Amino acid sequence: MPKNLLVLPADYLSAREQQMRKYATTDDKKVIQASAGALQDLGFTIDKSEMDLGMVVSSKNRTAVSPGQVTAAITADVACVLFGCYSNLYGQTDKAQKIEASVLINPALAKDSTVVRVKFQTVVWNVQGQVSRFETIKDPKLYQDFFERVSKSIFLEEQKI
Amino acid sequence: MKLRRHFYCLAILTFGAFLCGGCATNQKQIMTAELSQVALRSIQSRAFDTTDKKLMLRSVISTMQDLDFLIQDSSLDLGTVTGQKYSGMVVVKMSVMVKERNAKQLLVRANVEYGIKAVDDPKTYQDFFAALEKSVFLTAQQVD
Repeated sequence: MPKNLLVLPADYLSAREQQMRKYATTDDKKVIQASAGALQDLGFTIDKSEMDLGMVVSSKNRTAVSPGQVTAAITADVACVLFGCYSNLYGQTDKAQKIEASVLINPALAKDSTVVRVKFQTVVWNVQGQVSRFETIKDPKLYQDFFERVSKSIFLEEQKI
Repeated sequence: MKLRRHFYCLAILTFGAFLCGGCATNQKQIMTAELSQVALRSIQSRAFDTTDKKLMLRSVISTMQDLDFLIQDSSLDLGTVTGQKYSGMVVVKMSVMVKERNAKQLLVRANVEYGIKAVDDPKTYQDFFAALEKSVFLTAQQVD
């Protein structure tokens, strides 16, 4: 078992900064509904939501097949067979992915606004059905897109934390 | 000839005994904990000087997000949060329960599973509570 299983990553504060925005309203419900709507706009289906805690969990399943990766793997496998050895690099290529978005709403410390935190993560499975990658999506465009959609639906500009 | 029959009988009996033995150990797993209940509780629990269960649960969710867990379930009524992440190919599952300890404190208990093993290493839980402290701005107190 890894020793640092539950150790905070060094960049957790900058990750929070990317994942959080503040809206000048105290209407939790409106913000949650807007967030759920934004997730649906982005193609996510809602898996779980709880108004009391201000939490929405959603996901989308998509293909992870990359033609370049598959071609390279098959070429290597065939070359290996020609040289009389066995390899199954194709089995290691990406097949499917689940992108998960979790939203948590919190009142700001000053109690005058609401903080929305969204985190996008992806799990990638290979052709053999094993988990090949698990990572947090860090593309700023995705986060920006999400927060803009929330803004539009509650008619309020988002502010950086 | 008779000897051979005896041998087969013995072989079948031994095999049967192995099978039953297997069942017994498999079922034993359902009720066993690796450490004594008291020791495990003390490793997995901390008390916090607040009675705001909602804030505590939100902080737990936020901390689990910081630790890259995919949140799967939560309930304010029961005071539970469940999440999962991957460490390489291994599934790491975690559940946290928040309940009132007394009129002034909340008790937070976490338990973690790594693949098919329960995590009973005190350091792992210390790390979690250290992370939670930062999120909730309160000190985690050891309970016995």
